[in-house]
Amino acid sequence: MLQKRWHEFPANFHPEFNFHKGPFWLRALARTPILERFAYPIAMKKGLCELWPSSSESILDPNFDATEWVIHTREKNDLERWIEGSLAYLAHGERNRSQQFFFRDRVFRVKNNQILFRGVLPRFSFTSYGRTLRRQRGIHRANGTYKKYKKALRGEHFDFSE
Amino acid sequence: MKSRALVSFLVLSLTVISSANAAAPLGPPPTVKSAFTNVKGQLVKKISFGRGCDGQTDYPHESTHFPLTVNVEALTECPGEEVSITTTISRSRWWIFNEAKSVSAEGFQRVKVNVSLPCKWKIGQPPILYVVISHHSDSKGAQQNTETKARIKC
Repeated sequence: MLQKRWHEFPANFHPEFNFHKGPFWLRALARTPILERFAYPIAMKKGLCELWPSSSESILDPNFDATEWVIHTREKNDLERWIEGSLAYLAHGERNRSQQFFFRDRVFRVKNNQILFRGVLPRFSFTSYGRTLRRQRGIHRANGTYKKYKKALRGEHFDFSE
Repeated sequence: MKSRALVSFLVLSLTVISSANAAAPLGPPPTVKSAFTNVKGQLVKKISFGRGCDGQTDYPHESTHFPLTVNVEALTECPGEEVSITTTISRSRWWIFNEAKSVSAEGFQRVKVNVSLPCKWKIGQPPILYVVISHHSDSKGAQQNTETKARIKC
């Protein structure tokens, strides 16, 4: 019952739960196994749940109950996409050897057209929010841009042409 | 004996919560309001997005052209260079046993791939998590990964 509302969102929109903008205890709750389900309704009440269009053609269903959701009408810009890990800039020499070894996703071929990406280091997380963070950090570590990612989150200026 | 078990449980609970907090201070990326503000909403004087070589993965979505398939596009581009891409879409199932499909492509300057999986969602089920990972590379040896995920009723 508690999980149902935050799972209900229109097609071609994807949700984002900004627990980091909430209080400390809410972040802790969102990262506590089993109890995490109680964090989502609270986040919705606090206006921390956003809906982003998946593409420029996404149209919000007029029958959708948008109460407590923050709805965006435009797609994410390049910086936002880079931070979340869906956009990367091909650059040379950002990783040292140990980073290349530990953080790069290995590619394993299962069948002719099936491969799996798996890192060397095990990555565990027991909550949905934890998995989201782990994925973002994993991508930036693999790309050698983790320091820039942290700078971006702190709001510091950085330059991709460095 | 009971009190020892209770103390162990409390210590374990506190460890889980404190480790969660220790790992959480950054949180997922705050969203910016426009291209000219940073993640804290402050004005940014200069943003440079590299040398025009990039890779991106779009969000998986239910295809409008081919009903009952989930579809995703990804691309790599770099002016004047050979580029390649490998994109894998996987559907979350039990533990590590995901269903996955990969497509690779190579080309000059710009290469785009389209990967799809047939839908398996049934009415009454929660949306299924799809994760897409792309590996982009260019002829000079630069390599980057991108990743998106979405829960879709498909």
